[in-house]
Amino acid sequence: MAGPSPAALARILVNEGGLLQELAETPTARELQTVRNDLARHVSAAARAGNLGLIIATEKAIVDGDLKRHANSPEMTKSLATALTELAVIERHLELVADPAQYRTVNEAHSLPKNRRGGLPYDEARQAMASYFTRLGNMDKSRRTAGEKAVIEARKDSLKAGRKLYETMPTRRPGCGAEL
Amino acid sequence: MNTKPKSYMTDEDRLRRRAGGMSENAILLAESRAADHAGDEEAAWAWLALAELPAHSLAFLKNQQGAAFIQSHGFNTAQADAVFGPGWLDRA
Repeated sequence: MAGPSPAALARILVNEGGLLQELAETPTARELQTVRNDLARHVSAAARAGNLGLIIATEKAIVDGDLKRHANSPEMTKSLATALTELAVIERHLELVADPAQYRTVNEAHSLPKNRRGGLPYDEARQAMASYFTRLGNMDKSRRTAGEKAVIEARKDSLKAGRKLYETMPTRRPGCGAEL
Repeated sequence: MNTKPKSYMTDEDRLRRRAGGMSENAILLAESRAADHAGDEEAAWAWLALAELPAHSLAFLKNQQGAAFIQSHGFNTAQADAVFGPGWLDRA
């Protein structure tokens, strides 16, 4: 191989581009694209069902799959483990928020203005959802195929729907103990 | 396994993929997707079980559906056995 000249680098990068295109045009790559579309559609359908528990369960399964696939990468593992922790926090709050007595305690523990958003407690579930959403946004920025990005977009929309569902949970409405 | 699961792919679909260089293993996965789209969940699982899947996919499946599910569907666990060592399915 020639020395590390700009022309040599250009050849390598053009070669990579050509091969990536070849790879994307194989029947296997096309099949993968259709399966990713299936996944994006599945995530959207789960979001439309209007059930926050289902939205979180769907995310948990996707993250679990990623975790198993990247078990050899400590950095990736750490990030995905944090994601699972956040999902667990949201799940735990689904129980808290379903019980007016328990959620009243959460409400009272978030009395400072900085711990409230829109007059309602900015509780750990809301914080976890915000952090999780940022994580999905960062994934979107990295090098990925269009199919993978479609999946991430669907997951972001699903999280947004989940956030709305959480905001309107009965015990969080005014008159149900959510106001101080 | 002597009898193959029910196929929802046409011969043409299969030939086109094969002619394009798709591996027989990937064709099993395409069969599974076709069965899923036809609403035949059992056939979709059966086609997946025939495929040679990476170890991490089986580790994921064990988490999601349990070890007994993998055993009763007769999944090909060759790669997972090699990576995790024999008896991995029975370990907690």
